Amino acid sequence: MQRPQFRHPLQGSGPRAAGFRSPPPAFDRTGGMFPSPPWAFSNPPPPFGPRFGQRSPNTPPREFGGNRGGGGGGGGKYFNGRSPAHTPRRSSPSPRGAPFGRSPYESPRRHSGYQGSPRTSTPFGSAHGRERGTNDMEKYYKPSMLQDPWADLQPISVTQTQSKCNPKLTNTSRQGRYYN
Amino acid sequence: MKVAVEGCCHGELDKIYESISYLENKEGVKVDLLLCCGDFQAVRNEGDMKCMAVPAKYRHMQTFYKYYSGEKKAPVLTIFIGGNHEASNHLQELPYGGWVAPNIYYLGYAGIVRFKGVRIGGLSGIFKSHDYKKGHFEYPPYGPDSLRSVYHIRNIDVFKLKQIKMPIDIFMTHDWPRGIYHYGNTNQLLRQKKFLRQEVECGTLGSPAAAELLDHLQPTYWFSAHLHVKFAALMQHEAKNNAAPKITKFLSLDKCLPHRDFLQIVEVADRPGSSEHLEYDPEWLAILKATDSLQKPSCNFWNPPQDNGLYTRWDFSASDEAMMEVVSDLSGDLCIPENFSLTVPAYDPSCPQPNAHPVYSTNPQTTELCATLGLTDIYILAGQAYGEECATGATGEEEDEDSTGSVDEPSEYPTDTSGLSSSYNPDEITIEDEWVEEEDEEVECTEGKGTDAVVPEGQVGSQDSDRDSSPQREMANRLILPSTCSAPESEAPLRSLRPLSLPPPLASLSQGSSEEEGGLTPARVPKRTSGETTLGSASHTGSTPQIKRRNQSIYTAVENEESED
Repeated sequence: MQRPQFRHPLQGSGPRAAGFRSPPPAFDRTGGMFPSPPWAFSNPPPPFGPRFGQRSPNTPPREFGGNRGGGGGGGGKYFNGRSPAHTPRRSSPSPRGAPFGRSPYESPRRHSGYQGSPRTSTPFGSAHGRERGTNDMEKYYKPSMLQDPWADLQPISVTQTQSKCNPKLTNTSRQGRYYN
Repeated sequence: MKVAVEGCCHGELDKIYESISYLENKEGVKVDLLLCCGDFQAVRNEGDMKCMAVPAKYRHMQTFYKYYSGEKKAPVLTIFIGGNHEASNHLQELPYGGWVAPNIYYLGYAGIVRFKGVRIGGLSGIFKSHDYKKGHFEYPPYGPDSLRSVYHIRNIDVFKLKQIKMPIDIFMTHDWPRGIYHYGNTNQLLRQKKFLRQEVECGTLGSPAAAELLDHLQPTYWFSAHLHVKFAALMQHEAKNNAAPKITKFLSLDKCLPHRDFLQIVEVADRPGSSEHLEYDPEWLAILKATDSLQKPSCNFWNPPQDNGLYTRWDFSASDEAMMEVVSDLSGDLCIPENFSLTVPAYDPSCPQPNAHPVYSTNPQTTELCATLGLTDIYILAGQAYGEECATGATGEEEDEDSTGSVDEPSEYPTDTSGLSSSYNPDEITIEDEWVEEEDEEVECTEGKGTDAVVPEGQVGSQDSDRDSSPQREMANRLILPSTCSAPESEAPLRSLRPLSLPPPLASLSQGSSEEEGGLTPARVPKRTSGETTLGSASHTGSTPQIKRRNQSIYTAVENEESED
């Protein structure tokens, strides 16, 4: 969301290099010249809305899981679905602090082999259990999680907070630098 | 791309990923990245659990081990920083960052990476003035003091981050930059967290180191956690170098519990054509290389080099050549290798090892990175120096400080604050039972204060010598920001930082507020703010705080007395 009175801090600010290191000569893996090197960008992306500005150089396709130099041998297998060391169980949340196994809240009349937490599932069918699990996650969800948390705020400048401060709290001789 | 930001994790990975999945299904969105702002608790086994600074009753395995062992895999790329509740031995294996599990990346003590062209940085730990100038000397098995000091932010890491020159998109710290609460709805914050009022009004809440970085980096986004409250702020920095003033969007989030504001989806524009994989950041790696020799795994104080005639070099920012050298070191491939491997056994619920000891082990990821870039594995360095320097030096000071806290602040944990120590730990956050909102607010009262200590001038080393900070406790009430020691350092960023720790204009604060530049006469800070502020300050007279030159107190060898004019 863009507030109309809000000017993006870097729009119209001139060359990106102002205040920052100018883009170094392009270091190019494919041998050509690029508009900007891998680590510098001409314009920042706006927080919300479409991107604009120069594109960074195309990066060649990466080999997924590639190792460079031999360290961490065997690491790749963990990205390929290592077989779990434990008996697979339903991913139902268990009570905090409960041993990782049967829930201590289970009563003896529960179906044997049932591993779910009573909060989130029942022995009376997986669909019902899934619904209970979803209800549990509803408690963690809030619509505000997707709403802009800064929507109701206006930028406060450093100088504004300076003027708020009680002059009594500052040394008078210092005052001249900040409060003129 | 859609970035999910989470506050304090406290090992609730299952819940967090399930929440994201639920949200994706419900809203029809796809989350590309998860950022977690600390208290991650990457506990692999029972030994790691003993390296976590939590009371015994909260020392639970939680769910991370499943992702470590391979039983589960993180459904979305996850990047996190450390907080004050961590498996510190595990994180110390990765000082420059690394994978703690497939698809879960730790940024290290400090780090910057890139994802889809977005620069993401972070600083792990929380600020504690008395440990700020020390090196990363800690080494498992931890004592009661090192168990906590290990996650205290160090000035060497802040110094490295201050060499960054190019814009950062996202930055994370666990605790808040000091003063940020003035840039949002402060009243609402104080309604939600009443116990923060005094510190907010005194300007002592939050990390001065983080405030300094906020002023220097001016990232587009700054995410934090620690205080278990959702708080948003919009800070407009002073313009630099004729550029338009930048604005930082600050957001702090809660911990993962039902009905809490622990998660936020933020739309961050990525850069077309950039890699789909997590990448190293050449500027950051160049800084790591340049500053490598500065690191000392010692509990003695370290003063960053500055342009005062005593140092041959004080600017360690990355030149173009240095960045190109880094890319060359990486053979042109900035992609972070997916080289995770188990280094210690994972927790096995069917075969628990309650007597397992914390393991010290080097991590092949760090070994590989150090070999590639010519860096020092400071964890190994710490192990070599362990016991030689710190057996006596830090212990007395830490105990003193902790015992003060137990006298003046009601402990969050009524009795046993740690399995390893009987002293009060002001860094603790209550991991209370679910649904207990009121208890949460009450018991977090002292935690919020304890963690955000006033920076005692003496402790942060106004002189060049390495010294124990305990004799300086009388000066503990001064509110001083860490100096910006890297040259060229202009006055402008110093000034812009100043208001971050200025209290709002309340006449009643005459006794409680001290100018962040550090009075020669320290102002009295209310006792509840920190254990550090209580010991017999000779200046508890309420006299007018005098202003010292900001940013000199920590780094300079000789105090600059000319600041008043």
